Amino acid sequence: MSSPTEFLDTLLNITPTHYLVVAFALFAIGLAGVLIRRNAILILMGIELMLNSSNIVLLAAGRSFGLQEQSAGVFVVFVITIAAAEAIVGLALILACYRKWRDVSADRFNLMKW
Amino acid sequence: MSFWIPLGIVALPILGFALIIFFGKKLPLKGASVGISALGASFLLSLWCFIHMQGAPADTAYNFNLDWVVFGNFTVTLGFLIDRFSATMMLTVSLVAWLIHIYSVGYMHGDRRFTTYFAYLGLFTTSMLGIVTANNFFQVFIFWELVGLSSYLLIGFWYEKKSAADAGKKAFIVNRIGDFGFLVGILALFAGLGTFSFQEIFSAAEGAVHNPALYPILAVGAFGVLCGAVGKSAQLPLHVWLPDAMEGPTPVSALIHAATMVAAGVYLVARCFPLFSAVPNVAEVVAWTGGLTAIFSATIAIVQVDIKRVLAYSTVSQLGFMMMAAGVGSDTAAIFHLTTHAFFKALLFLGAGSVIYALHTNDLREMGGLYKKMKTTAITFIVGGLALAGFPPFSGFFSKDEILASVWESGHYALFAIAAITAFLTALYTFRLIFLAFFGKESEAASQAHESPKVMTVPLVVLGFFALVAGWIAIPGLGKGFAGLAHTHHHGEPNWMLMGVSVLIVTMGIFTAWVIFHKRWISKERLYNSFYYIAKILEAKYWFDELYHYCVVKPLLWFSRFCRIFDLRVIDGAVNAVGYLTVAASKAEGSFDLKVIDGAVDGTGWLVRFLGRIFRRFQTGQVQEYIILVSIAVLAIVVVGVFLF
Repeated sequence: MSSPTEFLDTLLNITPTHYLVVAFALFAIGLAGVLIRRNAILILMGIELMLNSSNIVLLAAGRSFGLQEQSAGVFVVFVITIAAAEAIVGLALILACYRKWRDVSADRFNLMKW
Repeated sequence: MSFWIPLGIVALPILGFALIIFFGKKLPLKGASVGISALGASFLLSLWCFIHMQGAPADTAYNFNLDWVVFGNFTVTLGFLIDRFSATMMLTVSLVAWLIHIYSVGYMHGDRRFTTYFAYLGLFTTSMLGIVTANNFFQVFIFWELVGLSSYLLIGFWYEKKSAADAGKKAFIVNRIGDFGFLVGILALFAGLGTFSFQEIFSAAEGAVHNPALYPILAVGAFGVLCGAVGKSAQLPLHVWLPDAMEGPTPVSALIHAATMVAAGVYLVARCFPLFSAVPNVAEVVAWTGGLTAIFSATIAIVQVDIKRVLAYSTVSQLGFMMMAAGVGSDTAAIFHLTTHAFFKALLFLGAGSVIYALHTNDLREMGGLYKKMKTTAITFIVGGLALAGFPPFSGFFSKDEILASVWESGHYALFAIAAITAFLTALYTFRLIFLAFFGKESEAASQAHESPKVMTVPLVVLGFFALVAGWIAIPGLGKGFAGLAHTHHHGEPNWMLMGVSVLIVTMGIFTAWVIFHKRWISKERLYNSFYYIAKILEAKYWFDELYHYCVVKPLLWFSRFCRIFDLRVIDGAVNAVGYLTVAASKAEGSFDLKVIDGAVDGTGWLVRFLGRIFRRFQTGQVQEYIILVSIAVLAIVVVGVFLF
């Protein structure tokens, strides 16, 4: 564990790389969730995480390339909107599957199997 | 004279034929009445014609022409030629045929195909009348072939009997050989002269003296006519069919021998007299053919034991006489003998038929002593025999004397010797027949015999009358002579010396027959044994039948067999080989189709299936697996992108 000073120093010297690291971490966590979890709702949540990690990358990129604040923000708002819509569609599907099979396990959804 | 008269003469019998063929069974007398009345009408018309021609100047000739087929500038003409010559023939043919029709009613009584028989008789008579009245070769040939056809039908009338069917075939085929030559001759004349008409051809022949280029054509034409005549009139070497033709009903034999068939050849040769005089070499061949035929068949006739065969060979022999006369340039004598012969030969055949009708056998050895049983038949038969032998004052004497005289005068002394010997032989075999059949010891068969019915004997008597008187027109002072009666060619003063010789020869012949066959002073058996080889040759008929059998029939059969084998092996083989090859090629193509084409198609399917089987494993239905793959792929792309570029 580093000293508080170092910590503070680091805080003050946050660079786009830090954002990217965070975003990557978040993306990885989301992806892992999507890949590993059985529960479809949790997979959906993993997807949300991945979307949000991309938001961070967008904002960080916007800032570091000196673009206008709003231009990156517009993308982010779109992504959030789509994420919301996607969550609705996803949940509705999951609900339908649940009604059919009384289960929300992704393993169970293998109708498209060969 | 009107066109309708010759047309009627020819067409009436054939109308009768058509009526009998279609409605015969319903007509009175099962059709015989129609045949007899049609021919009777024909006979009356002929008689009218004959009398009319006697009233007209000697060289009157009515020529009727009718265009039959027109091809551009080429016309086939049918027509009739009526002169004294054909009028005499028409009268003879229709009279003899008419009497034979009447006689047949008795002879064929009870036959199963009585009606058909009369139809055929009508056809036969029409054909002969057609030949006699024709004025061109084309028409002659049509009726010539009709004669061949109807003779075939009638000779083979009892076709249930194999020998009769064979005889019919033989007559037809042998005639066909002669007819082929005839056709060649006709076509040669047509090719050379551009016409079928007698008149035009004969005038060309008479003009040939000034135009030697015509000789080859005329020679071929004359030779063709000779070929046809040799076949139809049963001359050497095509005489073999006539004795076999005895298989037909006896009245048919009479018809063939007297009026309707064999007479055709002699008639044609005599009719073509101008043609033959233009080519003397061919005329010479005609004369020698006739002479040789006469003596050959006369010798054969001596040893025959079948009553009809004796008569058959005598016909061949007499036809030889006529040919000889025609060949040496005396067509008048030929036609005169043809006419008298028609009467007495018809008489003899009908008489023989009457005997056969009574005895049910043809074999002379089973006859004897018939004179007492069948007086009418016997007397008329003897009249016919005397006429055939040429004994005065019977008709045959005059006509035969005419022939002998013409041969003598033409300077053919060798032929004259042959003719004289033949005359002797004729008397011999005729009286052999008469003595064996009507005199001597009464045989077993003869004791049962009785006279034939009136319908048969009346024609015999009528014919007997004609056989007696038909020659008298030649008696100097009594008539105009046959030359005046029939045609225009002259004949000179009677040659008394020749007449005496001829009577002497005939008497000798009859006397010899009387000595051997009646009195039996000379034993038949001893005579047979001392001339054993000659008798054997004669009994074998000079092996003519065998000659034809080995030279024509056998090779033909061999050739046919060869052709059959060739057909079976080579032609069929080729066809089968083609078939086999087609099948083989189809099989190869089929298997190519199955293996290669279908293989490719199936292979494609199989490959797709195979690959599908592999790749479908990726489709697990597990969304997460897909995402893993996508992630790995993206990662790979990124890694490759970053490290390679």
